[in-house]
Amino acid sequence: MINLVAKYLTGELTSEEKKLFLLSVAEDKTLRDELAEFDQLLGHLSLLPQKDDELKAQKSLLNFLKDIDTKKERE
Amino acid sequence: MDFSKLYLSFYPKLVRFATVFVVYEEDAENIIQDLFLGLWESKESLKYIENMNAYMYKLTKNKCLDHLKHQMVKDRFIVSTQSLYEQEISLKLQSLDNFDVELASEERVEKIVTKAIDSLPPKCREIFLFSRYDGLKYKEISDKLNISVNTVETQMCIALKKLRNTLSLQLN
Repeated sequence: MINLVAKYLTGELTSEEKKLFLLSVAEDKTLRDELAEFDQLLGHLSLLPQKDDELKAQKSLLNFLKDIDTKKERE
Repeated sequence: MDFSKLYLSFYPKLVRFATVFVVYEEDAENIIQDLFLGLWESKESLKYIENMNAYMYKLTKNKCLDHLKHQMVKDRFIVSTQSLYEQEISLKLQSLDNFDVELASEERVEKIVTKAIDSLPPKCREIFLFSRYDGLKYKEISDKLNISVNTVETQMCIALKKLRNTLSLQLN
């Protein structure tokens, strides 16, 4: 089952496989708890800085400030 | 902290965190943009926040929980039977509700996570990093490293199991 969990978490399941997987998760509490543990893991993994963080943040900030200016002008 | 500095240091990691729980990256980006809009409107009060890291993760968690709850209601309204998406967000809601943001915002956690990844066997770590942080599919990793898709699959299982075990031992 860990293979399916890993494939689900990494977006490797086809929509049919995902449907079957989620159905088995709904019926199996152990599997549901296991999946929740992996979500906790992914949450912790998301904390690590990545190489393109700075660029992404700068781009997004520029757009954000532009939107704020546009909103102000409209007001 | 100056608003731009706050945005630059938190935006990418908060989007990454939110994406784990709200299923779609686009939703995560909207949630975090909305969060920053709220902060912009009350930016004068930011100077009174003592633990910015904990504050930002707490805000993100609450915003994501609101989003998931809203999506569940919306989905029920549209489809009378429980849809696949509803099942998925119900699982995510449960996971996020249990996620300890106070703990995650402690500086030591980042070091523990880094150490856990570094302790994976070299090939396993390489495959894991390609998948998790470069967003490569199993097939792309297998082509890149000239190995079979089955090997990638096996190594990803090993990586996830090892990381889960190590982190649950060290963080709980």
